[in-house]
Amino acid sequence: MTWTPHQQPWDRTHAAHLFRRVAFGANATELERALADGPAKTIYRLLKPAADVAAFNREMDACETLSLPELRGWWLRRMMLTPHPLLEKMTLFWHGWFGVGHNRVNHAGFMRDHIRALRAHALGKLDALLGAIVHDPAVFLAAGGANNPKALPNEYFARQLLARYTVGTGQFSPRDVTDTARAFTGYHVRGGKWRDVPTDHDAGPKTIFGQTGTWTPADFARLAAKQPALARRVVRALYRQFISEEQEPSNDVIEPLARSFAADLDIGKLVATMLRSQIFFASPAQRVKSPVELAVGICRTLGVTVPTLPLGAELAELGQNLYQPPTLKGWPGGRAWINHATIVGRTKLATRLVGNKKFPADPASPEFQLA
Amino acid sequence: MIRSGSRLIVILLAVAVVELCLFGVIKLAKQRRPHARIFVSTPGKTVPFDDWIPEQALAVLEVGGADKIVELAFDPAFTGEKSFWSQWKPSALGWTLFRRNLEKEMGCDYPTMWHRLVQDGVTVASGPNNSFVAVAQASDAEFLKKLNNVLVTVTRKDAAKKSETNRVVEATHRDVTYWTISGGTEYHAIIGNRVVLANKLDALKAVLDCQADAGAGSLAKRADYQAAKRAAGGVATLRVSPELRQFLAKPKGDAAKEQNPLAVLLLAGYTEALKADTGWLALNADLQGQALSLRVAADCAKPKGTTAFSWPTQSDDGAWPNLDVPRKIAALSLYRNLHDFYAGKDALFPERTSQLIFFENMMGIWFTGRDLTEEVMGAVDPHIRVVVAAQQYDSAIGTPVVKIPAFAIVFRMKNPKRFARISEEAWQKAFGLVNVTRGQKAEAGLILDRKDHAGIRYTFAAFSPDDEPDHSKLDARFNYSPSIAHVGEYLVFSSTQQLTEDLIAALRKPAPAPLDGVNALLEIDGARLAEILDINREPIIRGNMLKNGQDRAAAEAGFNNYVNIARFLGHASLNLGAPDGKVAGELTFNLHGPARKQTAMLKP
Repeated sequence: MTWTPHQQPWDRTHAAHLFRRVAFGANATELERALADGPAKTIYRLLKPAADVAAFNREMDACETLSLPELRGWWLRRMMLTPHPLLEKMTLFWHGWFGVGHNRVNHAGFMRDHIRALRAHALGKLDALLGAIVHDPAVFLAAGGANNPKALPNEYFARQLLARYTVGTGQFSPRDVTDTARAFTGYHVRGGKWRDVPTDHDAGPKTIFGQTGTWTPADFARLAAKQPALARRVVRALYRQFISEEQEPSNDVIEPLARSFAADLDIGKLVATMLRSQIFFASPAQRVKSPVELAVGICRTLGVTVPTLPLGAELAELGQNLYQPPTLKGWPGGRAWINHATIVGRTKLATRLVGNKKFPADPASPEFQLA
Repeated sequence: MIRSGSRLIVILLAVAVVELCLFGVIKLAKQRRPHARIFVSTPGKTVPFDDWIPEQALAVLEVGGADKIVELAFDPAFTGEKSFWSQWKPSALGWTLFRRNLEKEMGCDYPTMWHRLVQDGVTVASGPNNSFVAVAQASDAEFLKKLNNVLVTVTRKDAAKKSETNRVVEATHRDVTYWTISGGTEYHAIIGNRVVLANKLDALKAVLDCQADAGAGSLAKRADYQAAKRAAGGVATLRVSPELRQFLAKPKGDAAKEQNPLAVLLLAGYTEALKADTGWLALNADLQGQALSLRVAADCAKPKGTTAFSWPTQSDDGAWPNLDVPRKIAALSLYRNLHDFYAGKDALFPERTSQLIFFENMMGIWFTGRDLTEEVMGAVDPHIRVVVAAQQYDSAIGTPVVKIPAFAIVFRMKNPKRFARISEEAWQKAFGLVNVTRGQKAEAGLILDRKDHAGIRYTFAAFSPDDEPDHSKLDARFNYSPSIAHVGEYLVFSSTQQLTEDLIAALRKPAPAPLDGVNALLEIDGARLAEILDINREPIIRGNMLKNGQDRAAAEAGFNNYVNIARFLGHASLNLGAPDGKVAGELTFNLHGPARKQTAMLKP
């Protein structure tokens, strides 16, 4: 099985699988249209919708406030209503990848801007995404990089950047750590503001990933993006996201895609290749939906919009608190979503969403008691 | 002449009361408590039908001014909205034909027919075994007779066509003729210009018996009903039996709510009145011009013991009139003896919740370990006043995106010379601590300062707007500049400097006379409330979209309804106390709102 395009007959099962993975789910009309259009056109439409996505996102951006529960509610509403669900899925993917949580950032404005940055680059170029990340105050605060004085380069933050956000553990040297830390000196987050202090920046030569220069955070992002190890990590993570959490892909599967991705750094193209592949359509039912995917999927399938403010809190109870991943590693995902408590909660949630019952659940209601 | 907006409020209130009562009856019926009874009346002209209503009635609704309800029910402006009336649209062709035929026979349109049918009032009663009766007084006996003839004749023809021999039956009971035109699911009789309608023959007969026996065995003969009627001020409106009162007073869900110290402080005495085992609870609604008043009286004396802290000990004492400040939205005046309240805390809210422990810890820090009961709560007298007012933002500072009204609480100190210093120290400690906490989180701190205003030096804390990029969209924290002021014997804690200065002026006026027997007085200015809602229109609409899952149009419509209702309510005041030694409350509205379209039916 390879990344060659899917050639088998196109039927409702395949279309439903595609929409579940890519767009949270599909209603009957969307499925009918997908069947009529065929896989190529459908995937193209999912990647590049005809609707004015920018206008929709501008409208939603304008609604966002600096209250974390409301930010959470608006994002869920955006996921339910967006004409570009894949973009939100990928934003959610990167949110888990960077694992930036409000409990460490303590600044709703930074969190809002962080998610907006992820959305802006979610299907764009990896170097642009990393370029935004290395100037994102939320990332600095979450990864312990609030202070980066020249006198004491913050190696802890550098290690997080290397191990968590880019090449991964075992793929960098001690020199990479010390010089990455030096590259970030002079960039601080103090008093709730991003501060760039040129006099505090170490302007001397540094060697990162074997390349020497007077590197800055932007240079670090550019150098990191080109690392094959990062490309492999991204491809593996996306394999888990779109194809299977159950099967660990062999290097033979990952390597060809990682090579092409490292060459162009185009996340959208990488996702498109995966979605069009035989592997994608050959692996249904090998993922556990996250609570957000479960709830949004039901709502999109039924075409309903539920009160997202209480829904956000309920999803947090089920283990997925938007804007608040548990650690820098994000959500573990897979079977970790399921335990004795969450399986009951997920059943109740699904029952209520399908029944379009009120939120939050009334503990005195018979259905609550039954569940 | 009341305006249409007022009528809507009247109807809404009536519906709310009826829903509450019916809900109670249904619940009680399920609990097999057939003795609970409720009597409700809406404001307006009423005809006493209580001597026709059997004493077994569980719930009685006396509708005065029923013609106005009919007017509203057929008002296109009302029925066009998404309401119960608009959703009930019989669309069958047969119904349309029947209605047209009826209009032709009666010589008037359908709304006018209803108007004449219930012109002088309607009483609806529910009884045991799901029985219902209704008594309506029409404009004239001839009209009723003609209407009955038309209905019986048309139905007979239809029944004959369908060979339904038992569908129309005519019989007599106590010399009164009654009919069924539905084969036994409906019974009605006409006596003069009154029509009696029942869903069961026994229920109809019970009404006819009461009528024939001059009210013997009727509701009118019940002593408790008459007592409630007198206490409510003329028209008996609501009487709740002990069983129903216990049901109403039963804690719902979270029992901890009952132990909330703030709830205990605010509601002490009133909950006891609801829980009392004997007596009655009566409600009276009255409408005079634009003034709608609802009076509740309970057969319960002022509570004694731990909840006595909320009741004046002297006969001429009580809560003071509310403070008057510019841009006032709401005001609350309370009589609460905080010393006695806190001294009885172990009995009033025995559970030591984490919030209570936190409160006591912080008070210990702020008041330097002084005895909270004796030296802090006991240092202020029971006259407490709260005021909420809209803000005018200083252009030199800027305007927050979300505009929160200013609020303040005013105490009267027993020993101003001593407690002014103690409270000032506590206040400064509290805001110093706030600054330290905010500093630990790298958040902007408050600048503590003092200012002279009208000869009073007060202390305030304010955020500096200097580092804010856009002064037209400031953070919500710029709604606050907390202040403390000592104005003679009064101690003022306010959320803004502006309100503090307004209160300094208000408190310079001579001390008001207490409201005899009143221990709580709440006033709300609906127009100003609507104004403040309107100012925050966008954040509220967006919030509702999230909370209710609505689209923008629905959220805007809901918001507009709230604003309109606030405007309709006009000036509302709630007065609670025990003016005659019995617990009572009075809610009044000075209704005003936009003019509504008049229906053709009511034109002279």
